[in-house]
Amino acid sequence: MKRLGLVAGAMLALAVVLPLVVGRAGTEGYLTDWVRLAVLATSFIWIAGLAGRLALSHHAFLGLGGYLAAIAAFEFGIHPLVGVAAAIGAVLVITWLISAASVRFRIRDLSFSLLTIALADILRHTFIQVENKWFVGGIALPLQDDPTRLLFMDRTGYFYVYAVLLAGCVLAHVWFADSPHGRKLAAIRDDDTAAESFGQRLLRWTFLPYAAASIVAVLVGFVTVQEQLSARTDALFDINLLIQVITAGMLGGMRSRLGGVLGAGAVVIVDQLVIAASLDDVAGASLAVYGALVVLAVMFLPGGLAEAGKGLLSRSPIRLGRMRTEPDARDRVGDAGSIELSPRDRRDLTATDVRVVFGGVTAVDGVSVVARPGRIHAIIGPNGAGKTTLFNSITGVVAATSGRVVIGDHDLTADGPAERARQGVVRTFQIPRLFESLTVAENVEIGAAAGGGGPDDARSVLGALGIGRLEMATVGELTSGERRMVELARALAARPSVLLVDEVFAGLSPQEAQLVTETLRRVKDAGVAVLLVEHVLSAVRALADHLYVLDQGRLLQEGDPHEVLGSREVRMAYLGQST
Amino acid sequence: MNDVMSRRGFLGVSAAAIGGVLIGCGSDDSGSGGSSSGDLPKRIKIGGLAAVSGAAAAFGESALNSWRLAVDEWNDKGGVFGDGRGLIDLEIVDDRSTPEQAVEGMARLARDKDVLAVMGVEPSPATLQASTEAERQRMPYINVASLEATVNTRGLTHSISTSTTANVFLEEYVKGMRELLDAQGVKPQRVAFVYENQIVGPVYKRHWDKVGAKLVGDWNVVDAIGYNPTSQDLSPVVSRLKSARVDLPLMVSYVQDSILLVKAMKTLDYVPLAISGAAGGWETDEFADALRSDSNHVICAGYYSPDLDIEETRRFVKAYTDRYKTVPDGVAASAYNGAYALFGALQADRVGQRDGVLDAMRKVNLEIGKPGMIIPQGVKVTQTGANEAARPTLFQWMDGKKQALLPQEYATAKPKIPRPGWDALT
Amino acid sequence: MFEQTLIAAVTTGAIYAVLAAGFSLAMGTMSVVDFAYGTYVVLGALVAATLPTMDSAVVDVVARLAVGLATGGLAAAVVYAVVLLRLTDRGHLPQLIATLGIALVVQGGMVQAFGANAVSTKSEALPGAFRLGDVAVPNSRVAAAVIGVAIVIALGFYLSRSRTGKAWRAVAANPRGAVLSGMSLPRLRLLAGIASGALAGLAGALLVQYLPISAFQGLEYLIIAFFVVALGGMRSTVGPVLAAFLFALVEALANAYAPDLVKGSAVYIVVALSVVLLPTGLATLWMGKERLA
Repeated sequence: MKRLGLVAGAMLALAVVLPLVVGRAGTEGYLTDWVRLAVLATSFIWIAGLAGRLALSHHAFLGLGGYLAAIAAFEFGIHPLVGVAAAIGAVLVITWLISAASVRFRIRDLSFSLLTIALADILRHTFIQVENKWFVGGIALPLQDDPTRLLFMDRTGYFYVYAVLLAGCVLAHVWFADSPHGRKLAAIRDDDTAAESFGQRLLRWTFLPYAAASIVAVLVGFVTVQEQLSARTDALFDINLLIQVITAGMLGGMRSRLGGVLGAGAVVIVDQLVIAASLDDVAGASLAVYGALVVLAVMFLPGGLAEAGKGLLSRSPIRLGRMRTEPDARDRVGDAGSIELSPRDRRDLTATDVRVVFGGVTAVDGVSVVARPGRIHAIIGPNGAGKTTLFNSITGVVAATSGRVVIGDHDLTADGPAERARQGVVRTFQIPRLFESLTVAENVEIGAAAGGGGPDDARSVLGALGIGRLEMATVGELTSGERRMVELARALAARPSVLLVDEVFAGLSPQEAQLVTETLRRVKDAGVAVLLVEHVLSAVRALADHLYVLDQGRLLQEGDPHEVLGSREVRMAYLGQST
Repeated sequence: MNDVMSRRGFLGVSAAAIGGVLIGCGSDDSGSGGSSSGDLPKRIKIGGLAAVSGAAAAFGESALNSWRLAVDEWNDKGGVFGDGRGLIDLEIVDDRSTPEQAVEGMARLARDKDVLAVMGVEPSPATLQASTEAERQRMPYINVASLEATVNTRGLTHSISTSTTANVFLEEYVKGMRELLDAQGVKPQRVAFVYENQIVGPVYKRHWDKVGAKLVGDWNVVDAIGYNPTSQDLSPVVSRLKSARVDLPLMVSYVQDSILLVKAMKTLDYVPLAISGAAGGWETDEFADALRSDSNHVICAGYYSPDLDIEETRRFVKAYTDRYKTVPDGVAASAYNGAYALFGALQADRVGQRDGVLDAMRKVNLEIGKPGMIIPQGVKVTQTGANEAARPTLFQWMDGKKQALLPQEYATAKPKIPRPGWDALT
Repeated sequence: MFEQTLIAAVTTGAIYAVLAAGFSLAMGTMSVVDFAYGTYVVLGALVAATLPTMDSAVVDVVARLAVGLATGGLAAAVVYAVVLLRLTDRGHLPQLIATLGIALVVQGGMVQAFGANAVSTKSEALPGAFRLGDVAVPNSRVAAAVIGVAIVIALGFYLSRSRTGKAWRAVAANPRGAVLSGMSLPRLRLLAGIASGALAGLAGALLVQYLPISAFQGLEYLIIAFFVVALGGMRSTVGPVLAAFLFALVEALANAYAPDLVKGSAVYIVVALSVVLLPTGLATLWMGKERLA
């Protein structure tokens, strides 16, 4: 709260002082340009930086907002805000559709960008045709003074309008980034599969940033049209603006609260320098200089100016974590039955006749396993036996072609990973999928949230596992063994009824293996049902109460570990494998 | 000069949508404009807004060349007011081919109290916004090249156009084609209006819908075909014309598409009575360069033709060519025309400060052939600030050069209608 | 008109296939986003156009193609060596911005060197047209299409037979796997980048035989390449080639028959739908989703 107040105060002061300092040359020129670009860049950062999705439709939504506002005023004689409202409605529908499609069909990264480029072009072409049919030559609005419609004869008025918009955006950004929501979004951005496995709702957090940012673009479009008194598709749907916005975001710092403001400032300053150096000039030189500076900035300022400046308000991705080296009270090892490790409830997990087929290959062929509270069930088998795929189908990451997965009396078969996590089915990943931009404690908090817990629960789990000292460390500083432990802690913080552990022992040092073995025992004793996929047979022998052997997607044998491991069939399946 | 630039901005990548202007630029050492009445300033400042960089730089260059030529000519004769008074200082502002920069350039020039008026060469979106800003800043704005009709139909009082409008262009184009065909005793059986449907064509199409039927009289119009100007291959459009047996296509196209259309006509051996087009790509040098001898006999409605049989026009062409080693294009001619109209107005009304400029401009009535009036039929400014005298010139391409066909009194050639077959061209 | 539309689609599609092949090579091998790709096309076109006319038509065409290829390859070499190869670990956004910046720089240079106007070859190396009934295609387009298809097929062979080609495919599937091929990863990547640029320059040289090209059209060709590759499948070699023809066909049919409202946006609607329904591109149809993800 205090930070918000500070930011608000600073912006208010600047809004009052700057116009006086720069005079008309600024308010009718570069200062307003800066503020306007900062609004667009800040909102762009919400999607591209915070949510990690490079949406290239910002300029198109600006055009949509501006044009509909103009149509409302010109064609229907009503207040342009009605048009803006219509545009916002359209934005909500469009961004929701795209978000839903992206989540459902797993459209990420470049494909997502492509989708938004296509969308932008569809919007532009549609408006070109609308213009051709009904508003040939574009819409021209009469010049008048009408502040209720944001029509000012004196263009200084627009500086203040954009300044208000900017203040709103920055404050929202600061508030959000500091809140738990901000961390959820960061987790999804860093690894959406892992986040989903901890109950995060992908659709909501794909849609909200995209919609919010696009609505800001709509508002800017409205103000633009009022200032320019003209709506024409060739001017409003301008890809050059998108390029500037992206550049500003990049230069400022895509993870920074002030990234938009700093980046926009940099762009404006560069522009000024280019003008100063090249009046009356060589055609094309100014663009070349601009481009060159952009390249240099990208290459040598990876986190943007915010990172370089290490400002107070910026969130550096390379935080110096504070790792406490002396153990303290938080590091006491909890005893069996200690509250931190107990499950939220005790239910059986039953997977019946699960088949998973993709691309013509049957990875899992009618496998049935059961996991009971207070017992450790291990699944072993040679490479390619389908163990991880089976895990994926139990946690919902992969949809089973047929079969059922039930926990207690709740059928999970139709549920996605997020819902299953909320039902108490939690997993670790073979290669730890931690959220790189969050601290260890924040990672575990995501897990705790899946189980209805909070930061305190996260901390006690870390303590119970003896890694409380890593609390403030960043993921980047952890050793491979420590990562595994944090991965485990995150899963445990969710108070799972059923814990699925995927090949946790590979490559651990003897001490680390010892720690993990003890932990799993304590977890089992606390009443959690544990399902373990493992290659390291010594660990299996030490821990497993029940053993499943998979080979080529089928259940080869199951039963008491020692008997099973002694059987001829199993040894043949493993021929050539180390034991 | 419409949106020949607009398309470039559209498709090209230009970085300069924002960025204002250096404070304190345009230092004032030339003596203030307008002190007490009757005391005309020694030097006056005229602003020039054009694209020095960015997608439309080619046009900016043409305009700047003409303006500099005009300014030097006037200064050599002793300035606008004669006897070394009213020597012109040209203050150029680069609009970097974008509307936002045009607006800021206008604002910056307006802040300099010594600038009397701003001449502008802008693609359409920028023209509109520049004129709006001129209104806000109460700066006289002389649009010398844009064909954007709405500059002078919105009730803005500070914008004067010395160029004509797209509507007039279309009307004169169609009337001109009618006149040329009638003169050869040729009547088309099936006429079609062919236009690109994204950039500037729709404006022409709308006017065509309004007045086309009246203009063609008893000609039989069978179709209006809109096509996508970014298409890589326009042979389907020509194929359609061919199968519809259209013998006179009236076309509005951009640079690349006009070239592709003619190439496709050759490929498909489509020989209408005449191949013609209005403005846009048809009158550019790129058109002739790309098609070489295939551009021969193509008729175009453009700003002007360098070989117009007008002494003043020929003088201008020679002066420009001697100085810049290249034949002036339509934009250059328009810019020169407009500059002379402005300077002439200042001289006639003895205006040395900003607030007398508009009145002076509205009195302008200079016929073709008068000093600097190189484009038919001169400059006659209406109450709304439009130039009602201006007309496009119909010319034909021949061996990479333009030959004036209409207005009749300045023509240097007669068209061959029906046009020769493709084989006869090389 | 229909037959003419089809022919137009085929000849245009062949060039799109070359564009897509080059882009796909870079994207598949290195998962690198090179938004300067369009400038290689335009640079190749402009340089090829300014070559003086040769006496023999064949020599003329070959010379221009060679020049286009070399120009594109050289430009890409510089871009990759100086900038892109340093950004392979940074993620797509930095690559995109950096290469956009480069595109601006190169564009500025091209405007200086070649002017702002569209450029064509001084004379037509292959005048005349191929006629069949009501349909006619200029010889230069036919030649360009044939050459384009030949290049794409040759590339296909190169990818499956040659050492470098196989190494590229190995790297595309698994970057660490390149080690097995015995070639150094940076060197492989640079070669892929150069090949990608060379193909782009070649496409430009093919285009300028019959189309005027201006320095500002880089972005236009980049978007085409990007869309076609996405349509065909970013991890497939055959997919983009087929997608090129499909794309050209949709474009041509839309231009000819679609109502004005969707004429311009038809291609984008198709691409958008395909991204949603076939996220891994057309190649999904025969390769299966999981293999490609």
